Amino acid sequence: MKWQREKFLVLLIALALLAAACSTDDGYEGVELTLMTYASTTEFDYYATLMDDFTRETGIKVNYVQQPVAAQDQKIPLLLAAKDPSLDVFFTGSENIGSYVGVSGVLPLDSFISDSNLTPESWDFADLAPAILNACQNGGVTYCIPSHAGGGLLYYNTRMFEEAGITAPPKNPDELLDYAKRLTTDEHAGFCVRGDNTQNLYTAFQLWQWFYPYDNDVTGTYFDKDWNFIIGQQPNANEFGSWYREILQKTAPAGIATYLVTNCLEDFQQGRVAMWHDDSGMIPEVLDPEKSRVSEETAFWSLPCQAVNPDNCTLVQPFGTWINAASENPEAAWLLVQFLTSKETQIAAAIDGSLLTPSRVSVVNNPEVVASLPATFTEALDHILAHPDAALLPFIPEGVAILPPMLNGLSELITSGDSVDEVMARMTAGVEEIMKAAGYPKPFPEG
Amino acid sequence: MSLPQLGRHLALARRGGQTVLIWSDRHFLKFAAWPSLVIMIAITAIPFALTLALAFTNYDLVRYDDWRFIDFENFRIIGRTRQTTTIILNTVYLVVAAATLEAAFGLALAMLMAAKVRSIGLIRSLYLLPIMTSPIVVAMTWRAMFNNNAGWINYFLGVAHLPQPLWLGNPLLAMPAVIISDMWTGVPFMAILLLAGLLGVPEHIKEAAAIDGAGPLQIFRYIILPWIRPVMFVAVLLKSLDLFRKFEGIAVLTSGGPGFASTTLNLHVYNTGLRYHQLGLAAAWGVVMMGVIGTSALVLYFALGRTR
Repeated sequence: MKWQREKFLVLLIALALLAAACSTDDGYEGVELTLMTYASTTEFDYYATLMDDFTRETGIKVNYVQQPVAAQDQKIPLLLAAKDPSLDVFFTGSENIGSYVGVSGVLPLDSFISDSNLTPESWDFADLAPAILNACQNGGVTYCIPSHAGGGLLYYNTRMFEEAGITAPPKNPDELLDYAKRLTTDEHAGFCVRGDNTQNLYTAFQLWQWFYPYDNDVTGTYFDKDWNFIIGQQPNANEFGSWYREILQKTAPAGIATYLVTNCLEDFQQGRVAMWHDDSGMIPEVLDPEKSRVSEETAFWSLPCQAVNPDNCTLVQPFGTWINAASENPEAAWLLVQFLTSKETQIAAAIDGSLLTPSRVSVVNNPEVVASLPATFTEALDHILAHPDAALLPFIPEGVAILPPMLNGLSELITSGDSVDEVMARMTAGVEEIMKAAGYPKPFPEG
Repeated sequence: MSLPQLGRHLALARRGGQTVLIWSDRHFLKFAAWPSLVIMIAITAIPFALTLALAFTNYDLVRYDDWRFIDFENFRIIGRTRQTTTIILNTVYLVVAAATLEAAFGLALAMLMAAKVRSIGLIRSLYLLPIMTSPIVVAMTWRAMFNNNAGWINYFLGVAHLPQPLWLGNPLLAMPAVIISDMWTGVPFMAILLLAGLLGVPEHIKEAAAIDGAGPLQIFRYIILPWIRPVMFVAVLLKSLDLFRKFEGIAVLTSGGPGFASTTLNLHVYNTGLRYHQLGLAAAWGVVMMGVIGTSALVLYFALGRTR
């Protein structure tokens, strides 16, 4: 009897040891994460191809969802506000940090970063470019890991420049307007930006950098520390409004008021516009000879800062990799974030041509990566990263709420016959009304 | 009803040899309607009441735990908003123009489909295809066709040496472009409904009128039109309600632009609530929209719905 009891105990211990040996080291087998990001973007298309590798390494399956810009930008805030656990990791621009933190929708990441069990030293948090990482931080807390920093730059057609007798890209807004007029012919328009009121803020922001001062890292060119609306202050407001109206009414393609980014891209690819100011993420599309007729005659330029804003005049829109606060697998989600933002992934994506503006300093300086970048882009990128304005929206919870009067005002500058004075005054009044209803002025937040 | 009364009814039923309980027979419909009534209240009346309440708050998605009642402030904001008149007029313009054109063309198409020719069944089926196409696909296709540089419409206009207008970028043409794209599905829809009415017009009345010397136009005006008036009212009402709710066609074709040239109430409610996260204000716009729809339905009823 005693012998049988001992035999049973030995068998039990052996079974327990066998079970322990069969289990995975990381304990993530069977975990499935959902990641949402943008469709039709080469960088995110590339990351999709890496998901099988990630699953092999970690045992974590990834439901990789790509959707159009409008869908992604609308669904994410709703999912976060609803504390929906079906979303784990997502990519969006860091300008949304104010509203995401306002709804407590995203996980603070500092505890993951500092935990050596979860984050190996080799991942190297310090390698992330400070100017870019700054946009992922709110009140000193890190909420996202930047994957890239899209920059605003000028795409221009060198053949059209040559035909118009223009030898170098413009150095200031007056030259840009002048060149745009000279480049407007029967065959092509001179200048294109997004004019549709669902997207026009993105490019207007890039253009007004040459007219308004940059006040601080929290509200950028929107508000000063006394909450005065900088965009509405004269005489800068009229200067910008008049210039914006003139360049878009006289040198832009017909129908610019409904132009989306895809319209400008198509026009530039087809040789119907000479200059286009937009995000650097479109570079692969214009350099692909199968899609673009002007792949051999495209160059890139970052307009120098003007005296009014000498240090922070280029849109740098860091794209962040975020973790939903309601995620049921935050540690597994952190593994995925590390994978997507690691040096190895960024180098591979950059050499592939899918990632032009990596967020890691070592990757930006990697000789192989530099060699793979398009000509003239390197100089533009250096300028962009040296003069960043990451506050595409002010980093406050009301960042989105002030959009309606601004979008309407920018649209009215192109479409209405009202004077620039009136349009800018209405824009200012609209923003001030919203801020007042939100209880401003309030103590100015820390960066 | 008391138990004695019930007993008397049952006795009457048995005496008459009837096997169905008269009491339950009379009240059957009431009992049968209860489940669907409860569901209807749950999915319509309750959300409606909540939306009405939301319209009096400053609820938004970011400060969702910091909202409060603000009386009629949202409606005052709507009254102060410059674009309010434009948005309401755009909505009325879309509904009146599209419904009228689709009714007229739909009736013409229905008259053709009422013809007794071979393969008319197949032809009628083909006209169902637009209705079966996904609205978003329709909208995207029409956006491509209206493209200034590469669209089919301007191409064929150019071949015919006709002006090639800027369809989607011209504030005066943006709404007509939306209407034209809606007609592609709206005309067959109206035609199918009106065809049912046309096929119900008694042949002998038309024949008698013809014998009496009435021409085709007179027959159409004095016999067919009055006969199909109730069907026409239903068709126009349904289409109008559909047009008030039109979204994907406008969002894809013009995003409501240029400026606000093609923004309607429905699109504006969506923008206010889901793009700008101001749900309280969006609910107030929804109440305004309901008022406009209700007024329009009344006008339509008095214009078309009252029978002689």
